[in-house]
Formats: sequence, structure tokens, C-alpha cells
Amino acid sequence: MINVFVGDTVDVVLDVGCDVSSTSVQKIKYKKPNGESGAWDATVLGDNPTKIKADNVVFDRAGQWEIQAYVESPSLKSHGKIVRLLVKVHL
Amino acid sequence: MANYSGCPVTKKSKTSFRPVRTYIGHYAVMRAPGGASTSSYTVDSLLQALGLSDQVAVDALLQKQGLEALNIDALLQKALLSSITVDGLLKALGLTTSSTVDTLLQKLGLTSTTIDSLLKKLGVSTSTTIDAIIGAAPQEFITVDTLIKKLDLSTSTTASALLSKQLTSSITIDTFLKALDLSTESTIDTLLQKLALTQGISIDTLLTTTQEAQLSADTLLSKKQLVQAVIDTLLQSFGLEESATINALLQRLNLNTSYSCSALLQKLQITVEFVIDVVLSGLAYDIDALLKKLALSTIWSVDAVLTPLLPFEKKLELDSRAIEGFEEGSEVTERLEAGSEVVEEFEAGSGITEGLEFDSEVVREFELRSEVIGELALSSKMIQGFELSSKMIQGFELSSKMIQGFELSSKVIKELEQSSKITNKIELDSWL
Repeated sequence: MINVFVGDTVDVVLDVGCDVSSTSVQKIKYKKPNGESGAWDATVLGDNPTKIKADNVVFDRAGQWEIQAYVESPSLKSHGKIVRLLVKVHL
Repeated sequence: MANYSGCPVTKKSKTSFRPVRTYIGHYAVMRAPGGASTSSYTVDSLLQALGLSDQVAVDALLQKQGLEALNIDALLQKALLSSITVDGLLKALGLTTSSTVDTLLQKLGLTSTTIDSLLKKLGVSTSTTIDAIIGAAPQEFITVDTLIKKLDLSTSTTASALLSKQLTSSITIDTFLKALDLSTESTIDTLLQKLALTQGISIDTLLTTTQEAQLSADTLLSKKQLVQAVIDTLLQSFGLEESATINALLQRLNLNTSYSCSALLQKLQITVEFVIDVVLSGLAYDIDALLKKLALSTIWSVDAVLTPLLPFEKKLELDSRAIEGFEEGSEVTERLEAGSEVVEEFEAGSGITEGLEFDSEVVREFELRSEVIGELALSSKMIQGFELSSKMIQGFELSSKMIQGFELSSKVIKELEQSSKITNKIELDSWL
């Protein structure tokens, strides 16, 4: 069970299922519960090129977030599967 | 005649004397001693001198004075017309220019005039409708109010009283409203109050006051099913509140004030034979009974009114949908009652995906619930509204149980959170 609360600062790691070390752009796109969307800059993990990571992400809204991996290379632009994360209200 | 025993004594003589009564023909002239007339003669003696008795009429006197050609009326007329103004005349009659027509009528002795003679004065016959009278009569001569008074009614008189005055159902709604001192902008509630109608009269009352023989067995049975129906339901079926105006009701019925009351009654599924004829024939029904009948008739005609308004198939469809909705609602209840399963899901530490799926399921059921309530709100305008209303209440009770279920879920989540570790990294799959 993943517990993420509003205002928490966390690192978000997404397993993209393949080596993306050759890509030039790595991002994690998000959509907040209120519909706002954006993207965090990410990097490829050195010890595991199938994962990208966005550091020090702050979830500023409670509710269900949607996040998605995005990589870009000169020859392709690719999105990962959309995953949902429930951000809860802390005490 | 005067008593001559005490006659004045002249200064000429202190000796007493007796007057001499001289008769000339049949005239008796009083003469003083010495033969000369004196100013001390009485009227009686003067009349006697003129050959008149005290029983002689004034006319005889006037004749004596050469006034045979004049009568008193002519004399008075001449005197009045030559010297008195209109104001003076009004004053003489105890009136002012602002006096009401009624006062004038009273002064003219028309208070006891029958309506027939009044109508003759207006040049209309008794078969003329009220509208025609009002239209024909100059407004300043007679008002509706005056007419109603002449009919021995008051402005608060009920329609039935008006009808009982040998008027027929062909009087217009407008006249009807005027008789009730209402306008089309008056509220239905006011109309009901004027008609002394109560909204709580049940069909039972109708049946006890109605000759049941007039209703067929089938009709009677169908009416009995509407025991709890009240006039509110009728108004609801028209989409009206009691605070709506009569005008709004007429619009709903596609009527205006120029339609006859008969048309109104027909629209309300009240037959003229059933109501008006009863009044006119005056058989076994007093005014109160009629009023009750009017009110109650509008109640038991709810079904008849609704049937043309709402196609039967549509009604059935709404019914079945509402029932389905409630059946689905019971599933929601069962699910919530099985709250322990929810707890178990959490306790088993199931993944976020499952938790979210559960959440969305609950949300869907909430949507379902609101859909059901919406259907019920729609259906509540139907006859079965009362029954459905009670189901709605049950539905709300179920909703409160749902809320309790959510509160329970929240409690479980809190318990789980207390036992959780701080998360500073989340790892999820987002395969390309």
C-alpha cells in the first residue's frame, strides 16, 4: 500500500520496461485531481536504464493523480502506461 | 268655537255686555257693539264670516281666493324651479353630489325594488346574462357589487349561491371570479379559501356525501384507491403550487376567463349534470354539500386528468424504472452492509488499484442512487407518488447508511495509515 500525502516530497520512479538510456528527453507527465496537467523533468537511473526518476516531487492536491512516463529520442516519442496514485489528506 | 263668556271689556264701559250675533243669510258675522268689525276676531269667526266651517278643506279656501286653476304641486314646482339650484335640490333631498347611487336609489324609494323591476328599468330581461347586464348598464348606474347586492348576495358569496340564484353554468369564469371578489391573479389557495375548500378532504367524504348509485362499481372501486389523494396532487399534476395564480391554472387547462364555468368543470372532469344540475334542482344538497362536491370532484378526477396527460406506456415505464432503481438501491445497501468485506480488503493490504476500483464502484453507485432519486422525483407527480415518496424516504435512509459505510472506510484507512511507514519514494510501472 502506497501512502502519499498532500505536501509530501517524494521521488517518483517509473519502470518503463525497456532501456531508455539512449533517449534525449525523459519526463513524467501528470494530471492533478482538479484536471490541471504538467510534466516533471526526469532522468534515467544509472543502475537501471529501464527506470526514470523525477526527484523531489510535491503532490499539492489530495485525490487521484494520473502519471505517465514520456521519453523522446531523435527517432521516436513514446508514452508509457497511465498509472493512478491516490494522494491522501494528512492529519 | 271660542268661549264668549270671557270677552274683552272695552275701555268705554266697565259694564259687561254680551256680543250680538247677527246672521246674514247663513253667514254669521261677529260684530262688536256699535256695528264695527274689530281685529280681535278669531280665525273661527273669520271662517264663519266667509261662510266656511272649520271642516272645510284648504282647497275650498283656495277656491275662495280665486286660485282654482292652481294646485299645490304646481305651486310648489313653480316655487322650487324658479328659486332652487341643483345643489339646493340635492340638499333638500339630503344628498350631495358625491352621494352613492345606492343612496340615491334609497332616496328614490328603490330599496324595495325587486331585481325584476330594476332590470326593467335597465331595459333588460331576467333571461339576460350578468355580463350582458353589466355591458348594457352604464357603469355609474349599476356596478357588479350593486347587482350582487340586489341579488341579495355579498361579494363573498360562493359560486354555488350565485348559481342557486337561478343563474346557470353558462356564466363565464370571469363573472364567477368577480362574484367571488377574485381576479385571475388571485392565487389558487385564495380561491380554495373562498370556496371554503379544505385540502384534506378524502374520497371517503365524497363517497359518503355522494349518491353512490351515480357511480358505476368499477368507477367506485377505482376511486376508492385514491382515498389518500388530496387536491395538492391535482395541482402537482398540473405542475402548479397553491400559490400559483388562477390565471396559471386556466392556462394549464387551455381556458381563459371568457370560457363558461361549464367548460371549466368539464376540464376538471366534473360533469355539469353531476354538480350544476344538482344545485339547480336543489335536491338533497345544500350549498355546503355542493362546495364539498366541487372540491372532492377535483380529487377523484385526478386519475382521469392524469391519464390523458401521461401516456399509459410512459407511466408504466417510469414505474418500472423506479422499481428497478429501488432494487438496485437494495444492492447498494447490501454492499454497504457487507462493510466487513471492505475492511478485510484494506486489512489484506490490497493494492492501490483494487482500492481505487472499489472507490470508483462506490462512486458509480452514488451516481446510481442520484439517478434513482431523480426518477423518483419525476415519478412523484404520478398517482403512485405517495407510495414512491415513502420509498424515497427509505432511499434516503439507505443513503445515510452509505455515508456510515464511508465513515467506516475512512476509519479503516486511518488505522492503516497509523501503522504505515513514511514513504519518500514511489515506484510504479509505466511501461512504454
